[in-house]
Amino acid sequence: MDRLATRIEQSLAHIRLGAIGKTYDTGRGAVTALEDIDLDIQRGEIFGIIGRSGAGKSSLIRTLNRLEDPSSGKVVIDGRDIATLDESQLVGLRRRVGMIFQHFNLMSAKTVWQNVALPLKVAGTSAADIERRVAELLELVGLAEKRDRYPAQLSGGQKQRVGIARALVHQPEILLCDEATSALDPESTQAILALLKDINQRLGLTIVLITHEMEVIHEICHRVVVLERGRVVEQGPVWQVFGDPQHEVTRSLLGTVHHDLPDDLNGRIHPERSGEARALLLDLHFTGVSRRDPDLLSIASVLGAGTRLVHGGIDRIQGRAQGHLLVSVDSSEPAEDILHRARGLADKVGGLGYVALAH
Amino acid sequence: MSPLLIDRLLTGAWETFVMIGVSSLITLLLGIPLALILVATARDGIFAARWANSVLGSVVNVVRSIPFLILMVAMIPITRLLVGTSYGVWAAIVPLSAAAVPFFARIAEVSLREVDRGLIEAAQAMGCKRWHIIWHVLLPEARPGIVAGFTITLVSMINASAVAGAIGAGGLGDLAYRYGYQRFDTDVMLTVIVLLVALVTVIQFGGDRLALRLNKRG
Repeated sequence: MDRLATRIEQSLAHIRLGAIGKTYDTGRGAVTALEDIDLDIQRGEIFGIIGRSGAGKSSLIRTLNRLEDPSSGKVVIDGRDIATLDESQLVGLRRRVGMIFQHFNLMSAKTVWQNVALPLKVAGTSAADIERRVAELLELVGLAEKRDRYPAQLSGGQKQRVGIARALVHQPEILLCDEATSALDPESTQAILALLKDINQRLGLTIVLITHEMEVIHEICHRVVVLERGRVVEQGPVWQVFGDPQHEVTRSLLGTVHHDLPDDLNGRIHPERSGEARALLLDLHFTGVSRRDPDLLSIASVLGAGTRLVHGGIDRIQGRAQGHLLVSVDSSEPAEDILHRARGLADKVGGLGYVALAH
Repeated sequence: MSPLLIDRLLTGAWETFVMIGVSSLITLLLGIPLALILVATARDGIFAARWANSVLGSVVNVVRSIPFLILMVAMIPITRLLVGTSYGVWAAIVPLSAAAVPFFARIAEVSLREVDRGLIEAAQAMGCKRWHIIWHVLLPEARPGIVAGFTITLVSMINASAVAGAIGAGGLGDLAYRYGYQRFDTDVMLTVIVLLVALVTVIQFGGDRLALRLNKRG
């Protein structure tokens, strides 16, 4: 019976946003930050919210622990509309929802230990429990020997580890990450993302993160929504959004991950077959939808001798191979015939034009 | 210098010490809460109350804009009510505190307001109630600035105490005024000046050191 109840609970969304809207009253009229946002975030998943700056990401994540109240719509956590909580219930909610920040927001006048202990201290936890719990968390984030340092004496990555320890000290069910790696160097970013992934797996925590970096989504998220001007423009599993982005904003955000055609190739593409430019340049696009890996033998046998791999790459996201392979096909057949034959080689196949064969 | 004079100097120094000591204690006890109220009730403060904020702000501004000498004279009825006399060290403490509290409150207010909003947000996000934010975030984070501000307040209070001396409050200022100005006794005046300079130097040095030690921002 208990297990059934647990399963039903787990099948319900952990966090549900219904028609969230937010308008700010500035001196010169109302500004809409969020409009009509519906989201379901499942228990135990890492959910990413990406968008350019000013897209409304910060406002959105702040509605989840009521650092901001939405102007319209509902935020439901564990089946409870959080707008109905009174002040002490809200404090209770915030102890179940940890948060980390881009600029860490550690108390400069407190040591590492005191920073991590603060949430427990204000909750009236006994000194012995505080001592035990803080030690546990500093161990978890690998900062046990820095307990008496002040934040100013730590590196950015270490500060964020303190932030994570502080956010987890109440054993929350949800962790909100507000651009948690945006102020870090690439190496620390990787380490922090690995830590978050580990926490998600070990503690079964639901993680909601906002970022403007696609790499972050790529690295750890299960699902992603793309926010633009306060609206959701695209959402889905990460492999899907990365493998086959539909919206122009998504593509431009992905631009930092997927490179456009290199200049030398771009300049050599002709729309028609002419003179030297007689090889058809094919784009074999693996979106991840069919879960297939590129099959080199069938590519070669379908397209024939003289087929060359010109550009491209395959990335694996959530166990699905995806990316583009650009191959040049040396054949005098009409393009339609080649495209027809190549159709089964990838999830999407397109002709880009004609190029001269490399010598 | 005659033994009598030395005795007078010692008495004067003691009186100044009492005046400054008691006034500064009152200033600390009233000024910090006042500064906290000013910050907390501000428009984006944690106990936002615009009306209370502007009333309190105006009172502070009015008191601060009255020159000390005039404030002291104008306050004589209040001083009598509070300490039963308008003459002597205890009577001087009333106007000294009245002038220093708003002065110090404004300086402390600036330090409190400069505490990063992100820290307040983090405190809210971890489940701090508003009193927790004041006690665990605002006060500790603003402490170096408050100490520096209190040092400035002390120094300007020593200054004011000499003015108070001129209307019978006693202390070193009174001594310098009576011997130096009314009797042209340069020795006494110079001794008083040396004592005052030494006092201010010690306070400023100590305050700077303390503020530096409390500042962990690296």
